[in-house]
Amino acid sequence: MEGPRAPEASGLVKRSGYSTEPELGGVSTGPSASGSKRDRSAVHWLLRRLLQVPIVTACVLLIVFILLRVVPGNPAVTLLGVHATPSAVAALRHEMNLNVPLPDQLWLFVRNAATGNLGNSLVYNVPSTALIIPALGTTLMLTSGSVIIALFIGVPLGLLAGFTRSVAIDTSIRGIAVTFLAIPAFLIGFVLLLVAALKFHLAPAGGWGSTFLGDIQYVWLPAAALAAYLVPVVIRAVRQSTKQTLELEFIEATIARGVSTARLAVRHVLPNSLLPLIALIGMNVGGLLGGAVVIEAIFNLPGVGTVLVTAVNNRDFPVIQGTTVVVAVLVILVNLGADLLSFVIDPRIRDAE
Amino acid sequence: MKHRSKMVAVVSILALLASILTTASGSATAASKPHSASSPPKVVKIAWPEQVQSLDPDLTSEALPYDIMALMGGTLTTLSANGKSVEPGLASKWTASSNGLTWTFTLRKGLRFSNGQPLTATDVKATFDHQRSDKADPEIGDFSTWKQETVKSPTELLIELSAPQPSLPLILAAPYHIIFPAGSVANKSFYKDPISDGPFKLQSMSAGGTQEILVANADYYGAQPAIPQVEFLYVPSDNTRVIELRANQIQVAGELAPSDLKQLKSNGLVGQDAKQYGSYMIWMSDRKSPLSNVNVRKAISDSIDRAQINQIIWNGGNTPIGSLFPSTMPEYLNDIPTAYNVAAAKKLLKGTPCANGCTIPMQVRTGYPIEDEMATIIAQDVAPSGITIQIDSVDNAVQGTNLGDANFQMALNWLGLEVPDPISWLDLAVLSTGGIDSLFSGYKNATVNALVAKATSASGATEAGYIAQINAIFAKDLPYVPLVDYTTSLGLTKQVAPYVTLADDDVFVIASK
Repeated sequence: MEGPRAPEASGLVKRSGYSTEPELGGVSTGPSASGSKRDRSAVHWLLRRLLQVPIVTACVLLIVFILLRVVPGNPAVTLLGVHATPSAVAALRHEMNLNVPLPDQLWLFVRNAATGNLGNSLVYNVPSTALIIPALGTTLMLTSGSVIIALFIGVPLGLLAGFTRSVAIDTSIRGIAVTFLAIPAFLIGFVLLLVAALKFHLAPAGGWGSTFLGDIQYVWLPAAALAAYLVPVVIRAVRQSTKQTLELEFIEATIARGVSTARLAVRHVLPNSLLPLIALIGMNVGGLLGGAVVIEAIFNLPGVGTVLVTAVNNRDFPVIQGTTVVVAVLVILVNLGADLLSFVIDPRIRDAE
Repeated sequence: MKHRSKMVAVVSILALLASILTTASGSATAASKPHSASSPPKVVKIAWPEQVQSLDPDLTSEALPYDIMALMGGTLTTLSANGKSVEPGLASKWTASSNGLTWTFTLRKGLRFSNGQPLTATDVKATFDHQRSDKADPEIGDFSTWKQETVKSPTELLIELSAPQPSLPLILAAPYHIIFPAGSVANKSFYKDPISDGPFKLQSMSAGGTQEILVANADYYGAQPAIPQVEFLYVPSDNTRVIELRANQIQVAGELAPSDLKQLKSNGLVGQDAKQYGSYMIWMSDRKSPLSNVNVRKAISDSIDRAQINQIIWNGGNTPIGSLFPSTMPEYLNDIPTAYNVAAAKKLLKGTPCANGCTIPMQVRTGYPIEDEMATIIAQDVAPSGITIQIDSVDNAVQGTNLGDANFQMALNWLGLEVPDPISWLDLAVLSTGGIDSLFSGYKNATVNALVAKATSASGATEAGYIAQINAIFAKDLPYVPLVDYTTSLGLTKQVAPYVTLADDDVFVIASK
């Protein structure tokens, strides 16, 4: 008969000292002095983290704004070409309001950004959000697809490497992980394009669809290429965590009760091994978004990376600023979400906080 | 029961995934099978490593927007297929007064824009008035001798000039001189979805310029195109363009590395090197030592093995040039030594600031593999003469700014034209008052300036005579170093190859029915 895991089977309960409460589900069993104190500290923690969002965003915005003005190059030259006369360039700069003093430009940007207006693209003459928002959807689909694929591949392999007593299997899995970590994303992307798309026709060779289902046809191959960055990280984390969990006393007790290895892995080891993954994936979102820039270029996806690279090449200041702010906020929020999730479901973190 | 529902859920998810993958596989397979028939396809997809910034001719200078403008826009005149002569476009004929100061253009009867609205001389005048008055227009120099235009009738326009301009019909064939409706031409938002008058009209353009779809324009005055729909797609990676071409997801891949062409041919595709009205050069700032010394410039020229560049990069398919003009223009005169001659270079360097060796930085644009490769070859070639070329990689925008600010010593780049007009070339290349300071070199030669002014008003043998003199002075002064013709490499599927060509003026031509 299947049933919920008994509290005593959880190593976390034993280790964290909450021996009277079934904490693993993340729900307190009832009011208590220590519980309300913990709730207050949780609220403080949450407020502290939320306060970081506007501060970090403002810092990113300021740094990007200053860097863009320090780096040589201006959008008028990129639009008109190097052969344009200085007077034509000057006239276009004037049209683009690039002659406005820098503090005024900064104030204008901050004021507009606060109301959700990221300004108009200097090059395409459309609101920056019209370029960024659709691209963000593509990039989110790509990165979340890569996370799903990385978990799908990395978790079983990590569990296997953690469980196995065979040195050959463990070494092989770790070898695969290190190899994937060493191969640049663009190379994996091209190999997948050549083999999966061109040779076996398993996916279109780059491009993007026009409907959600159509997009999935296009996104899974680049997501797999991007996942190559995350798979080794997941394998290592799950392997490490599995090995640690297996050393706990409750596991020995469970084995002694004659529980099968598969059941032990799925019901007792896996949940504990997955906890560190939440924080790990949260921390790697920035890296994934960076990798997405390369993968988007290879697979010709209209994502944020493509928008950003083009904007940088064109010195399209509002789009660069807008994209950077949006990506920064996204990374901060994902990290915050991961922390929050870990906080809610992992009593050890709550205890530490 | 619980087991069973879990099983059902798992099977359902797997089935969904399988169906998605099967759909993907099916679509990819369908796309990968080239049509066996030799008839033209209904759609041709052209991939290019550029996004369309704007279809406003005053706000762009890139090849791709010009390609699109050339397909969707009508110009008063057009270039012949071989680029050697000017042919009627929207104008059926044109005449110049005996003093060359008044031109009369007569429009075809019954011209219409793509929305069915009649196209008259009023639209032509409004378009030119707008272009002439827009100070930001990079081609405003084309109108430097224009005084005014007068509409004589709905089909007749008079253009009055302050000085003769025999090349006027040729200049007006350029894609950036397309004619727009009088009521819209000054409206910036009009260019997001412009009404046009060429063989195609714009059906849609994505906000970031990553995809443009053109369809045949039923109101076009000429024959309808053999391929009724053309899609331009932004595909930044060279390798991805090749893979997509091999998968038949696209039918034309532009701006390929010349080395890709061999691979394409071995995969049953068509590879083309299309020479343009342009040439690669080392642009030099002649303002400061050591490049202010003509012998240093000549020594660098002598120590570059242009044949080697051609062999390594283009597999011998390009033309090394020692001329102010590219070999695709009639004014081409190969009178600058192009043979690799280190001994001559060393001899020239005696008594110069580089007699005992020197280091000169050369700005090379990132993201342009051909220029990168060329720069490496040049640096290796020049080293034995005692000059060390220090390659500074900068992005396109930085180089553009540095050139305008004269903040460079050498820069690898190219100069090209949409129409083979020698006067436009001279304006950019050697005229110190041409706006870009003799191609940013700072070269000032009063005799050359005077000869350019004379050539502008001359035609035929007289014009050729002035240009020959300019050629000779250029070879003597060598303000910068020409290298090879500007050549674009592209790949096509066999099915579209008979119907799509990249003309010398760097625009696509779709065959007519």
